Amino acid sequence: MTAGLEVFIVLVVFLGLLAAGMAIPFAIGVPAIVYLLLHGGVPALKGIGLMSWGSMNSFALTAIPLFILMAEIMQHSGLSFRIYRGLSRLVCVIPGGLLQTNIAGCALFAAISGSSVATAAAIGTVALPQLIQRGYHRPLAAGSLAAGGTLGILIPPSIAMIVYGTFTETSVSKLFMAGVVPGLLLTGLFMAYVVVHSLLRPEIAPREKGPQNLAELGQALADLVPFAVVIGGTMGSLYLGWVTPTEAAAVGCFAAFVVSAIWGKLGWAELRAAMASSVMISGNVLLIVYTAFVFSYAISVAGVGEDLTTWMVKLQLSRLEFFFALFILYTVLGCLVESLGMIVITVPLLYPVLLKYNIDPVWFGIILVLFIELGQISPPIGINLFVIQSIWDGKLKDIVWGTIPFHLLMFVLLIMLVVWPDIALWLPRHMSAPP
Amino acid sequence: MSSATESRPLDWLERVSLWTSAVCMAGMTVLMLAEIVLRGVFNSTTEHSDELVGYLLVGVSFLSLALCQTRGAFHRVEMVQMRLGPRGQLVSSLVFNLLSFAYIAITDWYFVQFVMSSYRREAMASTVLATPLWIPETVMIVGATLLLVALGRAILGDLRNLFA
Repeated sequence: MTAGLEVFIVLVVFLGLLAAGMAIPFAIGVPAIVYLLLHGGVPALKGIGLMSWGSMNSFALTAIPLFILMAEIMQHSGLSFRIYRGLSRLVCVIPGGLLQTNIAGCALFAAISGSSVATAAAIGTVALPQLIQRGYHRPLAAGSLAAGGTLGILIPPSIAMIVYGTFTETSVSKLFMAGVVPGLLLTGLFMAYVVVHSLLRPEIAPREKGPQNLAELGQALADLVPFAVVIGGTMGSLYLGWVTPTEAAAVGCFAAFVVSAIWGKLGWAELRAAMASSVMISGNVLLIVYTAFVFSYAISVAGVGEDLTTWMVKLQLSRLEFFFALFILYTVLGCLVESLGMIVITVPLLYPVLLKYNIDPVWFGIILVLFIELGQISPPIGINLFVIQSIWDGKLKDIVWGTIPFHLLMFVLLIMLVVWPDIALWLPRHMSAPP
Repeated sequence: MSSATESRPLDWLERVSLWTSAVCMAGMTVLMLAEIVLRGVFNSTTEHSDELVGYLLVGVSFLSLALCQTRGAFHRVEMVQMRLGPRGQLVSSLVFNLLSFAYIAITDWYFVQFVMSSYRREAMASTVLATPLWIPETVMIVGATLLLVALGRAILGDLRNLFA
């Protein structure tokens, strides 16, 4: 059997199991084992133990469960409600009212959460009942939350960036900093769109009143203080080079614990729930990462990466043509494969090719994260669509329609990043080196 | 896509999985904070934190899996599942659980081989602690075996429901 046919069979098995409803980590792991058996027989399995230990005994990956724990502590202590309350008073004066609060709230929550699902769920749960009660345009309300949630993996910390950094041995600190400007730019694009849309069609969003006096303004600002402390503690110390990403995550857990004890409701029950939730989310993410290492091991045993690189180089595509091919590949994959699955299946294969084209791995990491964001709001499996669907009484079709303008804005940002790579690369150049 | 988590009380398997993973996670946080304080305030270092945190990550990664399995925390795509009838869903669940069991059983078997080899070779970490590696490596076997128990229970549950 040729190497190409083997890869084809394995990818078909993977997509088949995934679409049929098998749990994602197993849907990656089973074809990887099949591939090892197809290529090298039983002896090829002997390296699994060493490979598993070597890949999971990783200091860089440690940041994942700790960032998850940080966000879960904040969420279980009820502080995500305070973000929305504070921002709804400050931001709702902009045309679009609470729709603007959705996006700003997601951007702020994204700065303490590394996951799009957590961001969409945290803000969506608080926001949707109020939006529906006040008569906001339903598809746009749901769409802004699903799309706003995707900021969770672009604005640091980001689980997707940690995984990408681990697989490509790219600095996670640099990736985090590279996500800041594109994340803020995308937030700005989303908010500008809502302004324009609500000025053209005022019926989509009722006019809201901002703070009526200094006391209300002070209260709104006070609601944001816990987040400023946690975000400042984690991202600030990372930018200044005082800590590594893993240490920043530990600082974040400590800061989240302290601010939740002071400003939130953090008793034993909430802490236990936050811990249980963190263990389950971490277990899920880390098993996907682990099985991806098995998959990566399988393709390296078979030498497929080198074959693919040679084949791609022989095609003599220009940089722009290569990027266009990636654009098509990831747009299609985003509709079929879950976010982390997309990184872990494609990056080990494509990374050697990127190096041949002299593509900056930090820049490509941000591009990849944007593609993943697109996938998260693309039917039929865009996970954020289902997160929002699970917390409102509307139709999935309405959420999908509501996200389309945000899709287009993400494409605009993608083009901007291709034309001006410094949007992503400027900030990492100015950060201090980690200890 | 979904991941459904249940709210029933934890059984022994889930309690073991949750608390061992939670202890690892808390240990990672404490070790990292200790390292930052020692470096920042006392210009010193534990010298062991990177090594120990790596071991604890292996703990979280593998010990949490049984809880994830029994609580339905693994993400899955439900595009096809939603269109299947109750019997179709049961059959597919059985097939997926059998495949997952086989995958983890193979992995677990090679973990055992690997750890026994470390034990026989008296392999030690090339650090100041010189940890005998079979000790932290055994966590992979424990975690995978707990997951196998959880998957075995799921298979029995599927069979019971299928033939009820």
